[in-house]
Amino acid sequence: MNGALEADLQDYLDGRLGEAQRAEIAAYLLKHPDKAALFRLLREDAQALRSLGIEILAEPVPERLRATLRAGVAERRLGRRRLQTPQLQNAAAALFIFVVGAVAGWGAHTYLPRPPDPFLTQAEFAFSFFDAQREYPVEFGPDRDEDFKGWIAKLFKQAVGMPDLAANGFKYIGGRILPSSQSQTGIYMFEGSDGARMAIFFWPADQASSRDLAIRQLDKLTAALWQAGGFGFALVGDKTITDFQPLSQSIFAYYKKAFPSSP
Amino acid sequence: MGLAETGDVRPNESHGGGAEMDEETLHRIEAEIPRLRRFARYLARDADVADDLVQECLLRAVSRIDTWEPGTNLRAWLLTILRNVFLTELRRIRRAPVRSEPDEERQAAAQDSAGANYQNDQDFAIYLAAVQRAFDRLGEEHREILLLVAVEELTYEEAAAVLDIPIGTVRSRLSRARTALRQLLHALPPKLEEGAA
Repeated sequence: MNGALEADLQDYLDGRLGEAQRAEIAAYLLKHPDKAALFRLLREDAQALRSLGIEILAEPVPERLRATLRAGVAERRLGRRRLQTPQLQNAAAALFIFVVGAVAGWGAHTYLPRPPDPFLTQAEFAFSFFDAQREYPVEFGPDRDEDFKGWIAKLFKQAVGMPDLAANGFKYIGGRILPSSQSQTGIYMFEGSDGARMAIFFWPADQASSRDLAIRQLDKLTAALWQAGGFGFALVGDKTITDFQPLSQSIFAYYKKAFPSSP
Repeated sequence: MGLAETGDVRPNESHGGGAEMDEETLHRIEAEIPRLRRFARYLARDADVADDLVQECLLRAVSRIDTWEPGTNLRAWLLTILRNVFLTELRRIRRAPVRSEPDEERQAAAQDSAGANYQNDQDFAIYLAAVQRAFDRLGEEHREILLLVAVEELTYEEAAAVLDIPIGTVRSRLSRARTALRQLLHALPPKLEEGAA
């Protein structure tokens, strides 16, 4: 009898009873204050348990977990395609190795087939800020070019060249390095004869993936994004720059030539 | 924890009704990650180990997505995989899973008293912290059943499927776990234990 009651109490607590049974238990509890007191305690425990570890739910999800999921999905999709088109086998296998390698290695790189939106957001924000600094937009002016080049080579483990845009009416006014959540981002800034500015952002990305140029319209800016030779790139500029698209294409071509896709 | 280790996943081996890894499913799995992390953390009691478990769980989930039947509880399915990953890892490390030892738990927690008659938010916060501490002292089986039913709010049926035990066992284990927790919280009339078993 007693045992049966405890099971009923628990079912009552967990909302597993029908209306008639609930009424029965409620009536029983009314008549047995000791059981009612116990039930109140159990219900309070249940409430507390529902918020157990609620602070864990609020933590940002580690990037490696999202990355694992997406890498797994990418690999699965590749696996599918491999079955359909045997001639893709080698390419798929090579990419699979990269994906798995990246998952196992956890470098501070983005490498997954998703647009680098966090970088674009950062680039947009950074460009707006430094563009507004009419006097001190850069940390390394052209006079400190050698220092800057050396630092970049050290940070990114290779030199990152800079296209000459004089023919397009833009002169190089200098650059800087920004830290970001995942690595660091280099910025080369250019200024047109009318004072309109644009900047090339670059950051380490996956060696394996290259991404074609994509133009994005932001609030007050235009951006072009691509990926090549282990770097992600964004060209961000004032919306008033009329030949932004051809400009971005020639910069894209410049880096594609500078960083031929890795073997 | 090897990438190839995809065995040990029990739910719905049958083919036919299985899910596809489309964008919606992907997002739904992604949305469960915080809860998977919480479950893993309370099982493993170590944040880094817990995230490793979740990572392996996600890999297995993706590779076996066709064993999830759309319309059934995705969370329960993921928790099943996560738990299996945990058990595999546990066997690897300890060779045998730990049993709960309610008597020791009770003694160890004798100093941890918590009344449930809190008057305000601060009292409730103190009570919550006590529940958290008491929970940490529970044996593995008890933590597990409470996590599934009381924390993640799975039905008894879903919890039974996750743990691969009969519903009657879910019920009795849950009752014992709640009793043990109450004992740890030091405010339990002695009678409950007898009845619940």
